Amino acid sequence: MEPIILAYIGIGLMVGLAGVGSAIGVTITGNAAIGALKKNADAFGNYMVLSALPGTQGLYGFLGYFLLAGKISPDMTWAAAAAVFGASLALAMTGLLSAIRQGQVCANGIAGIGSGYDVFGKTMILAVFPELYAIVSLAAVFMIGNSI
Amino acid sequence: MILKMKKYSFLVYHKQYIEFLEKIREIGVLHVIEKPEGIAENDELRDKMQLAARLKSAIKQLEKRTPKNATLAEINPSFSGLDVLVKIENALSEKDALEQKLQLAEKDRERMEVWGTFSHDRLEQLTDSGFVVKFYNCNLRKFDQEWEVKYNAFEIDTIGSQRYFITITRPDEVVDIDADSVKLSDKTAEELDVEIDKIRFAIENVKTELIQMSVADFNTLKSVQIDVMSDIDFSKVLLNTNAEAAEKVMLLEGYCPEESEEDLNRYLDDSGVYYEASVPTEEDKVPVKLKNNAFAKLYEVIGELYDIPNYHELDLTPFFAPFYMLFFGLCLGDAGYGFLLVLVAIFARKKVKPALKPVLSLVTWLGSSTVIMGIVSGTFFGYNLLESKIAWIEKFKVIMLDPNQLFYTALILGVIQIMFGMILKAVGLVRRYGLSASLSTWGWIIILLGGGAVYGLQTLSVLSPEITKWAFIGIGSVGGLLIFILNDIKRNPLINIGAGLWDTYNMATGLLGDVLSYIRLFALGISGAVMGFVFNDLAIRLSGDIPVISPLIMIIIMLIGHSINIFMSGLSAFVHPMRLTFVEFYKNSGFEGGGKKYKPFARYKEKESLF
Repeated sequence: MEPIILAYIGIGLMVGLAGVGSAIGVTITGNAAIGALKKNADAFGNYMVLSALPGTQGLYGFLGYFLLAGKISPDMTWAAAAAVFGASLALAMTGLLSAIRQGQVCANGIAGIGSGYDVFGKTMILAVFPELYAIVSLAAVFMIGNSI
Repeated sequence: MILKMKKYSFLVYHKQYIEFLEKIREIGVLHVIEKPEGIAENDELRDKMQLAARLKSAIKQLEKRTPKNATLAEINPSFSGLDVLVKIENALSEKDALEQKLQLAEKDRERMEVWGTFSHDRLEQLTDSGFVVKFYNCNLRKFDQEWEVKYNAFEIDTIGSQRYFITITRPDEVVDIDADSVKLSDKTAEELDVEIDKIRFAIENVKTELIQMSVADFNTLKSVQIDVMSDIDFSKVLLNTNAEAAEKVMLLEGYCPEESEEDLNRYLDDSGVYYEASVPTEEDKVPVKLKNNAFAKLYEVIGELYDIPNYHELDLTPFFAPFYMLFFGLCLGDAGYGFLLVLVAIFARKKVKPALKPVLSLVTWLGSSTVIMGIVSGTFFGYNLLESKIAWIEKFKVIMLDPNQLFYTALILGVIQIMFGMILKAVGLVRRYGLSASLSTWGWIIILLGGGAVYGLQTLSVLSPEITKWAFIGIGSVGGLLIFILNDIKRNPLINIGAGLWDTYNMATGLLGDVLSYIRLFALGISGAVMGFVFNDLAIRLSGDIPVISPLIMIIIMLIGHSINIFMSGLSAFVHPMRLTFVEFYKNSGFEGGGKKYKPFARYKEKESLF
């Protein structure tokens, strides 16, 4: 087996799973927004903003590939492939799970706004916490990419 | 900035009160303080609000039916507004009833269609003569030939797999067959047709009537709505008045912006009403009216999506506005998209109603920022400018940053905004509570900025290691003193140290997360650019080599792709800088929020909403 296979498996997981996480996350918030629109259609701007928040993990996954792309070549070493795989796996897992959970937080916020509670700002603050770990993973990918 | 207000208290003799209120409404600058316990349930007010709701829905119905380019009739003083409302509501409910009737009739007709033309009277005659006719339908396969003999079953029609037939039996005979007995409606299909036409005609009449009313009565209804809403406002103010001295004296309190004081004072002095004007204290919940320069004013809309600052703190709108503009440009990151935004905004601004014009001005600013940041990140409609070989782009390349540099730029911008926020927090605390309350914030600023500066200078070898060491020690001790000992002068120093440790923990975890959060600017910018590049690549590859059709296909793919990209990137560019402003910037600036918008008691004006 060539090292590049391991590297691309990692890339596939990273872009794929982070994207899946965001897809599921924004679906959860989108569903909540439609439900909330039935109760309170005036706050659509708020729903839109909160719905968009879980979408960033997919972008981080995509960006992670971009950051590592220069290090992947058919004659890369095992060490390099291992670094790429490790970095990718980290971002894949954090992206997947943090996006889904962030979606749930935002969905609760949207439901709250729909019911008439004024929780827009505080929801945004609370939604930041899951995302922090995806950002940390992205920073790790960047640094690992620089160290190869 | 937040406009300064004065608190007014009025004592008015009850007989002059209504006149006083009407005059106050004319001047229209007083924001009435609402009773903290709320207005008691008042039947009259409730009725008025129900009426307002009815008017609103009737007006909406009329608006839907107004033909284009129709000139609306002037207000007709001979009609009472309420009569017009009742007339419209009756027409609408008549239309609904007719439409329901139509539905039932059409269903009946469908059922009766199979049976064709017959006469109910004849059926009755037959029954009287001793021949009972029963109607059935059943599945073709279940139809038993025996029934034709036993019960005189006659097939009327067979449609698809359903057979419709009748049986003719004696009155006392029991017809026990495996088929569904059909209940006939009173009319035959033909008669129903006639009725359906009649109902349709009636519905058309009502619709025409409604259209006529939408032209003739719209303005009348609108004026009634204004009257009712003004009435409601007036009642609310009356209910928020305190009646003192056995209901002989009315006490009203409110706030007035200092810049509008003159008009109010002039009336009050002329009329001789007893009043007191005072400066609000720290505990008062004063309403907030923002006033900003033409640039920052456009961003007030964004600030309102989150929360209005409370009266006593700093208005952060002019401070986050330039950052928001910069971040939007960085996130959308494509000079071509920026050009498009500017062109669309300038073009559309001439055609929209006045309420939307500020939004389009904002879009123009954001578009210009995108053009600049697009050039800086080297992207034009997905085309990578950094690697292009076109001659005249070379001189722009000095300001372009490659992805690596962009990553650090995003982080540095984050640090700048956060430090700026902390300085604002310190200044705000000094302004509000005095220097002593802000000491620990200054301590942090000294450590972070000082430490950073010394580290930077040392890396650039401007300072020798000796001086660097002493500089760090100096900064550390001054900062430490401010954070751990002087953070609350009136408190026991030991508790201060504990609080300082807690503060340090919060800072360490919070700051790292906050700074890293700004990586999203880099992430969004690059991914948007790469998406554009991918679409261009796709367009070129998929279009093939056919002479005329290939360029066409290429353009179509690029149009679709870039439209999708503009929408998705645009949405992210709108949302994420907002999130950075509200979470990271506001948090580090010590934003409290919770302000109440300034809404003076004045002539009723309709609110225009953007969405």
